[in-house]
Amino acid sequence: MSDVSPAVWSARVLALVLVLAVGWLLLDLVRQEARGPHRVIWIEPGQYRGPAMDKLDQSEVETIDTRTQHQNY
Amino acid sequence: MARMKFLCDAERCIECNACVTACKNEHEVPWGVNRRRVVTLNDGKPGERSISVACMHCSDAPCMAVCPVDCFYQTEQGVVLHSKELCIGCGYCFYACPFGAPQYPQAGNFGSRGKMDKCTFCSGGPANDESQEFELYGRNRLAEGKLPLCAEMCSTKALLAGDGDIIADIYRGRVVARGFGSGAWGWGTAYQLKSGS
Repeated sequence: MSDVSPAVWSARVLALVLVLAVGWLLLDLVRQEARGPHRVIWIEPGQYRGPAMDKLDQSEVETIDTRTQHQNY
Repeated sequence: MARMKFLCDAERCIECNACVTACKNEHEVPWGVNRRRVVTLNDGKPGERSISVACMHCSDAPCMAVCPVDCFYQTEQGVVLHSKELCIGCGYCFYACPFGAPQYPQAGNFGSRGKMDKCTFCSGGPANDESQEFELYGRNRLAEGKLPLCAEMCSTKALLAGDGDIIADIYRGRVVARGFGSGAWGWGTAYQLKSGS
């Protein structure tokens, strides 16, 4: 016991700390996997359930686009 | 597919507030509610700029995300509209909106605000008939093949409305033509230090 140098002892302690740290990280990883996929932080809009509204047809959209192009001088 | 957007050219806006007046008149917006307003930065100082602000019809609208009764929806043209039948006037959308677009007609007891009102991009809203649509949301100009009145009557054409790609092209053309900052036409004449001064 006494013939072991302090350098060897410190290396052993360091190895133990390293093993514990890696073990803790692996354990955390396993726990995360068990919890399932991450929760989405951003709130997603819900489904609109109000009354419907008429849609614009293609010709109306084209008329609007033509007016938009002439909106300059 | 067209995505309707507003763009305000701050170099052209002269703070005449005609867009605000036109919007209120066209939709008969009640007293105290402004769907559009003109914001001025550095008022009275060099570099003063004004922009006309209303609902920007965000592609990923935060008001839609926070609404507890899901009264918002987006049309195929990207216009964010809401149903006043479903709205409970909670004010969450007002907190979420970065532009302060949602407006409330009442300030009653117990915090009652009334149904939320905002810019509809002059495209009305969900209603049973035209008269009800006008009463609740204002005129539906898009269905008539017209653009929002605020943009159509802007005297300096500072406020542009329509398909995002088209108005981006118009704005890009203006920036290229006039330059910007010290590269702008007439900048040297206006701001260059005169000799002896």
